[in-house]
Amino acid sequence: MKHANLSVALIEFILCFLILYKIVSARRGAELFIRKIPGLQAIDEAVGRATEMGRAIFYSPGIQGLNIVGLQSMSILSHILRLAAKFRTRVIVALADAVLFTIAQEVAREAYTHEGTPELYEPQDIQFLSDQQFAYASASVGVMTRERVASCFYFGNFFAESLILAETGHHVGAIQVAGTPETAQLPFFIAACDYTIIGDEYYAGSAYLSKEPTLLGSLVGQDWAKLVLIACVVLGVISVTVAGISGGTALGAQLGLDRHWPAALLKVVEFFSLPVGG
Amino acid sequence: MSTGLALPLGAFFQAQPNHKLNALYIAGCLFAGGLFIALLTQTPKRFRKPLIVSATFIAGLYFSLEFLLPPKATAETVLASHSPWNRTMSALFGWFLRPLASNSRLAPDENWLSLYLENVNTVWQVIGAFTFALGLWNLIHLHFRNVVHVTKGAFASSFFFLGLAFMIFAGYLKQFSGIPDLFAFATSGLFFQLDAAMFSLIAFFIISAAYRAFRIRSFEASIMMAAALLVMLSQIPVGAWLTSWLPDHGLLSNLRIERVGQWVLRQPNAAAQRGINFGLAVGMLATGLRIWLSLERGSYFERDV
Repeated sequence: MKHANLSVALIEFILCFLILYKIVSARRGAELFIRKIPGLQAIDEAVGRATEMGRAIFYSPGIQGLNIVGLQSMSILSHILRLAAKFRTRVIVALADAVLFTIAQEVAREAYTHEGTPELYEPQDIQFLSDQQFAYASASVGVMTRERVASCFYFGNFFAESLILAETGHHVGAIQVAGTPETAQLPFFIAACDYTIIGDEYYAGSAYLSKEPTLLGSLVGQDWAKLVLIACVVLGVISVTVAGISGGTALGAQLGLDRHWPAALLKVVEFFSLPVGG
Repeated sequence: MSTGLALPLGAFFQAQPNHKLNALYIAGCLFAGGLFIALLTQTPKRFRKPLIVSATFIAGLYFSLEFLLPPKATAETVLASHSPWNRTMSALFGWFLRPLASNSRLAPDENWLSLYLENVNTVWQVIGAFTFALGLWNLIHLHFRNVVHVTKGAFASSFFFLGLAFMIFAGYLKQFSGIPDLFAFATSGLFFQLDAAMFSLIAFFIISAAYRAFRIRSFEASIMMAAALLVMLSQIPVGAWLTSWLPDHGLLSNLRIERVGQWVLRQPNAAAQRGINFGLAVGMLATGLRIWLSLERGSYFERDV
């Protein structure tokens, strides 16, 4: 879809309103409940394990560049770096995009400074490996194997290299936490990693970890937005089904549905199947 | 500079037949880019954040409006239609729709803002190109240190320099001497083959990952195992043979393994994937909204720039 039709624009407006409303409420001090996300809680466990073993942590933000997914990955990286800086644990960040590489350097510098340990920041640990998919995978595997990393984090956009990374992490005995919006790669991470963050939990990462009111408000707003979408799906399914039965089948006609039901329902069906700009 | 060297250098920057002009464009872009970065660095700290916030907001507004505003085809449809809905829309937004419909420069799926989409994306690519040099510098720095200090990975690091020099030489040879053999050897003969070798590792990793995933440890793992078995059997001739005694038509035909497998893929699997995608779309919308309105908090978003 290159341009929004009326129903898309309307739904988008409602979702944006809900998210912004919850952000404003949270900033005004409203109490918000957030459910536990085991994958994100496991981050602390994984950092702790690396500290106990005295080995490094490996972090990969995937192979795509600067986009919403990449920015979210940098937020999670920031949390991991701060945690690792507290315990003086080494974090190796492997990057495949030059733009993200510069941001990761800044994030690392800032995280160590924030924890009062700027001397621990080692620029060589933020590595631009390659912008080619399998060259990146190959180099990452090399780093993981040579350093015998204790924990691996994969947060970002991954493609065919996901299983190569996750299986290597498993073979070196690392505890692994992964999160990706690429649904095609989720089965590989679920099979090979100890914890996997699924779907929109990926975008909940920064809010969940920072407990910042603005982000928590946004997270609750997301849940409300999902409720709206669920309502739309249910309404759409019912209306299309009933309209189909009443208007298009003998059973509908036999039950008299074609006389009593369709008028209002067809309006709903029309809304969900509105042609572009109609 | 001798003519012998000047010609290849001119051709080095060549992207179009008119190479002199292109070299000028590139030099101008580099100069303008450098000037822009220098100005940004010299901007007083108290102005930097508002500057970035404004630029983010304007860029976000452009892309939002480009998507939300109707294209020319829609404007034409609405103006030509006599339905009550479209007549109301024409009365309310006719001032906007009429010039849009009559604009001959626009394609049917474009609005006014679509005209600048390519240019805006080019700007983004140019900014990205500036950072690529930093990536290359990091690689050189990292591997140079390994080689000089003769660390554990020194031997592998030396291959980076070898590869870099070889690719530059092969590329130069192909471009300016018309000898493509070495470049073809470096890309098709080496790089693509190494890439394919790395890709083929996935086949082995899938087996070891599947072995662990399919170990029945819980009720959920059992369901997954059963579903995987059904789908796998439905894809192979043996699977079809197992239930070939069932009729081709009628109610019982739905129990044929290839149909059950397809049903698992197309119904529960597709529904679950769509559910995940709904959540992802909302999450992306929320994150995008926060970044657009500079409401994002944590990590680098709050720091003084």
